[in-house]
Amino acid sequence: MKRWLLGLLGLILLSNPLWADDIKWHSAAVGMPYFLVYDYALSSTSGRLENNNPDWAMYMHFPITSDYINALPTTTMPSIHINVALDGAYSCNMYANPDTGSSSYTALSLSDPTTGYEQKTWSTVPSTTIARRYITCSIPKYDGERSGVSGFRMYETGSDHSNDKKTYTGSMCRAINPNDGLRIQTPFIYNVDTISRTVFCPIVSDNTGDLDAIVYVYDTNPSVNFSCTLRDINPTSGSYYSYSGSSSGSSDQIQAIDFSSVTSHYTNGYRGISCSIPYEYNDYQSVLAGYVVNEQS
Amino acid sequence: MLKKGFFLSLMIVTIAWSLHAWGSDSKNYPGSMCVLKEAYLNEDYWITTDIGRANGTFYNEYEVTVGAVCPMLADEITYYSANVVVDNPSGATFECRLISMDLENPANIWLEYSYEYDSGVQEMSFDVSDDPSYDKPLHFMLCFVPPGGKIVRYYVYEDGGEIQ
Repeated sequence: MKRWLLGLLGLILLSNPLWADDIKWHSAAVGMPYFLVYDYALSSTSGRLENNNPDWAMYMHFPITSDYINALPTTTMPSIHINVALDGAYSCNMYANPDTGSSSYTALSLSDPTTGYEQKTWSTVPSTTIARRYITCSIPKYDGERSGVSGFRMYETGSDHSNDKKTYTGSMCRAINPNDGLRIQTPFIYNVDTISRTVFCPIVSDNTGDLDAIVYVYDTNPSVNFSCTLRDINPTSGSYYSYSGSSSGSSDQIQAIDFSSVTSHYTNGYRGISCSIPYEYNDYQSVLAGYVVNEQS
Repeated sequence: MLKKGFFLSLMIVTIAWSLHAWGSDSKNYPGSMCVLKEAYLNEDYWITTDIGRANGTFYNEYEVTVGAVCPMLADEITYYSANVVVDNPSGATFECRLISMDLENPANIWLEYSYEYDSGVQEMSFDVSDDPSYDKPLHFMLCFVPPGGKIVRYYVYEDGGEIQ
């Protein structure tokens, strides 16, 4: 066999994405309390999901977007890094549940954590057959300082992370305050309240390089515009790079809020977009329809 | 000759497999990604608390059927296949709709229905053969979950994009 053919074959094998790894940075805003309670808080600047209840700890649930469909590895599963702000007793479990039968998980517990951000890692996750994967965390009660989860990143073997473009439904966005007058319609999020309301829209990132993004909205309020901010957030310090955009005037046509070039970012930053949705005007509701994020490699 | 043919075949298979990998996308979502569609159901019934998320599922603990909006992170491409695993202990009608909406013109909408009537854990699939190719599609699923029913997980292959 000719050498160039062997070389080509080797090149293809080496470059095949199926042997590359995948990383996904999940903003904690993909999560929600395990039971609906009205005293959680979602930071509009960092997307941290926090316990605002002064009496008891709260379970938070975080679904994991996975590239695996057909089967999971029979050996060690990829590790998951989780970044948390700790203040008191705390524990997280990661689950990989098959469609039927018992669940399996690895617990990550901390008995005496110090105040402040810490990053903890599951290095071994049990293998299963086809599964759904998620994390639950017990977040300590509010005691003058709110504890919460800023995000988590996941490593998968057997898939790729390169250039990426993802379109998110507005229903991915979460209200900053759980009592807010926001409503999920298919698949948009509406402000049905008499005051403007803020949501945080998580980004599931494949890498932490440059990106551009567009938020699609219906602004039906002639007095107030959508005001949106895209942030790249440092999980350990809480500082961030931010980029702002807004809608213009009112219209029954969809508008695009463009973040054309986001070039400042942290090495392990989490990303999300916060938007203030104008209040209902003459029975016309403003809507966040969806958002597109285009990641560069 | 046999040796050369073997390597040639291996190379063709490898190239085909590589192209397949580069030309498709896959995502597996736990049912708990789904959110309740509207708190208000009808004049007689308000859901004032959220839905259960037991074991990573979307679990309808109420006495009425509820709507669930299940987002997908679409890669601006069309469906190759889509499936949803549900748990339907009562055997009531469990309806799911796979929807593709043109984000730049939401009046353009494509949907495909799937129904399950049997009890227990079932897998429902969608016919995506006529999926349109919108430039910026919103891909999502809308399910009507009967009392006691669960969306266990859902998974999608997308065609024509990158593996992400």
